[in-house]
This record gives sequence, structure tokens and C-alpha cells, in this order.
Amino acid sequence: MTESTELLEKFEELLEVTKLCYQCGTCAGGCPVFRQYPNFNPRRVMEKLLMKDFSEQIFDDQQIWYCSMCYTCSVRCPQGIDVGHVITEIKNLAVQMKNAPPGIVAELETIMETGVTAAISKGIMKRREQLELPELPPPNLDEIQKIFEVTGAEKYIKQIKEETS
Amino acid sequence: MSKFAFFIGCTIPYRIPFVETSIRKTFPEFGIELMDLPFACCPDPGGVQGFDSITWYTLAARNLCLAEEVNLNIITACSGCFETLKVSNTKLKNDTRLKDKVNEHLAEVDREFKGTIEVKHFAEVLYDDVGIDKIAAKVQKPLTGVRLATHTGCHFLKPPEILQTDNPESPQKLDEMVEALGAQAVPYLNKLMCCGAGTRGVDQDTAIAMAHEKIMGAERAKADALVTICPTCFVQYDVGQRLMAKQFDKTKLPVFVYPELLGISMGMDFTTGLKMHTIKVTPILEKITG
Repeated sequence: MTESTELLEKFEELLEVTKLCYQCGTCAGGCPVFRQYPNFNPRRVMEKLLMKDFSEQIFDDQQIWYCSMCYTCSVRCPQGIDVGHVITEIKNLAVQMKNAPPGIVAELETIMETGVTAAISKGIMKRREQLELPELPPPNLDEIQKIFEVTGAEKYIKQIKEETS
Repeated sequence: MSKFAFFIGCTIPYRIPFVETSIRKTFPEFGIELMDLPFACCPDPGGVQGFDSITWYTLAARNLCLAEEVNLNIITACSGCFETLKVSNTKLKNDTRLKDKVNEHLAEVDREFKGTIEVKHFAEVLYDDVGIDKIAAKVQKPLTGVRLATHTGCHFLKPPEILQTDNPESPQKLDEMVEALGAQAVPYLNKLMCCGAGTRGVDQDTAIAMAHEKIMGAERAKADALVTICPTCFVQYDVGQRLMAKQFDKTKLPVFVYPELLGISMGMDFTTGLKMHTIKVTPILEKITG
């Protein structure tokens, strides 16, 4: 299966799931991000998918990344749509279309290079010493990097960085 | 004695290591042995899953393989890690197509996901395996008169059909766990609300405004402190209050991760670690020790 047919297949799956939505807005009503930042509206995301309108707010800007992944929408949807998962799928497709915020790309790069998300500073190592905490066994970075290579994540990081530089 | 592979994650050891101290000191008191393994990032259920789901599953499966190798169930110290590892473990056990795809990638690093272990959150182990009675029996310095706003957090609860921990719309376990220590779990506005950490990667101000709503809810309920079972939520609320002061009126609500309060009530001395909190916890300590 070529990459583009796989992308198309994923996309069709997404539209199929969305069909059940009748735009009641329960997802937006419970969304903690929407309360603070009304530009991110899960009901509107579903509407765009229903209307097959991909002009804005879906793949080509950063609004979709405002989702905090709390799954309140998924728990409350009266049609049983896993809205949070739909949003995750949209993010995945956006990445394949070379779009992700710099903060997310940086996080992925940090994991690829160090195996963890947090920066391991001298200050924090001193704190660990003060607390008499044991040394942690280091992760196998060769394995982590190989996984980034074979799944294509390394390629996506590179593509997005080239696109935005 | 039950033995677990200890999945500590990234946030605890490299941002708030005093939480690690509280877990390492309290859990053996309940007959729980923690074994360190060379785990990597779980990886993050927000950023990494959003970036590429297959990479997320494969990196998670690699961690699961390490525990499978030594035949130990995993105990996670972090709710994000819990969600990643339990969702991956469950889906990989039940979805052959996904498992085959992930194992194809894992073969490149000579590993194979088999599906032989379970994943548990530390709060599940305390509540379900140890039990409220045994927790209460260990209390030497009860937190009498202390009003606590409990924040269970999203990734311990959802997706509920997979995680199966507590009622996602009305969680009770953490309330019972703080009451076992002699404290009072107070009802408050926005108790269920997400801490906002998931939005931090794209917009810090919005993420902090989300956390601020919660702090306001706890303050209006006259809570002495907020307690959580997730390190990421802890950072949002503790370190976050310093950032909130740029947008809102200054607040100084002490924040704890449950094992800290557990250890304090068991008579343990966590002074070194408690001094590392951003928001001073001395007022509440005075209330406990009198």
C-alpha cells in the first residue's frame, strides 16, 4: 500500500466515524480549552469534517493542537463518538501533511535524542543527590532512534522543520 | 511482598524528584517492592500520540517488552505514563492488525510484544490492592482539620472503557484515600476540569488560564491545599501559580502529590523535598504538626 492510499484510507475512516454527529455541541460545552480559547471548538471541528470543508482549522493551521487530550468530549458525546480520538487522528494526518507546532516537534526531537522529554540539568541532578535518590538505569538510545527511523517519525520531523525554516 | 517494574516517567525524576522520594519511601511500607528498569519516555500521550500514533504505540510497546522480559507487572508513578502504557498494552493485546504492525517495527530492534503483563497506576495499587483500611492503619499523624481539594486528573480516568479505574464523571477513590489520612475532601467548583498541561506545547497562556480556574475553585471552597495523583497536573498547579501571577491576582495554594501526604501522615520527614515546592507548604505542615 502506498503512503497516499494509506492516508486516503485513514481519512475515509475518519469521515465514517463523524457521520453520527448531529452537532449538539456537548463536546464544546464540556471542553476546558474552549472555555478559555473559543477559537478551538470541537463541535466546529466535527462540522468541518461532516461538511468535508478542509479550508481552515483542520489540517492547515495549529488550532487542532490546542486540544489538551482530556477526553471529556469522548466521555460525554451522546452518539458515542470518540471525539478526542478523532482529533488525534486529525493531528496525525496534519503531521503527514507537514504541519505541527514547533513545541511538539521539539518534544519529539528531545525524546529521539535523549530518550526522555525533560531536560536533565545539573541543577536537577544536584536535587536528586540532596534527596539521596538512586541513579536511574539509562534507556537504550540506539533502539529509540531506530524506532523513530522505521516508523517514519524521524522523516516527519525533518520534513516539518524544512517546511518551517 | 508484591514486586513491580517501577515506571517513573520523565516529569518526576527530572522536574520534581521529591515526589520520587515520597513514593520510594512509602510503598515498601505496604509490602510493595519497586524495581528500576532502563525505561525510556512512555511516550507522552498528547504530543507523541498526536504526532504519530504508530510511533507512540511502538515506543510504548518497547517499554512493555522490558517488563515482559523480567515478568513483572508495571506500576506507574505518572498518569500520562499510565494512560500510554495501559492503552497500548490493552489495544495491542486485542487488535492483531495493530500488534503485527508494531511487532514489525520492534523486530528492527530485536524485540517482540507478547502481551504477558499488566499495567497499574500507583493510586490503583494503593486503593485496590492495599486498600483503604490498611492505609488508615499506618497513619500516625492524622491530617485532622485539613481541607483538601482533590484533583484526580484526566489520564488516570480516561478513556474509561480501557483504563477502568474510577467513575470519569465523579471519581471517588482519591477522596476516600485522603479521608483515610484523616483529612477532609471538600467539594469545589471545576473539580473535574483538566489541568491544561496538554495545551502547554502550543499556547502557555491558555494552559495557565485553565489551571487558574481550578486554583480559584479550590480557594473559593476554602481548601488548605490541592492534592493530585499526577506529576504533570502537579507542575501545572504548583509551578503554574508563579506563571498565573503574570495574568491574574497572586495565589499561594499549596499543592501535593498524594504519596507526600501519605508519608507525612505516616510520620515520615520529607522536609528536604517539601522545600523544593514552588508554593510554600509550611502553613499546612504547621496545621498538621500543631
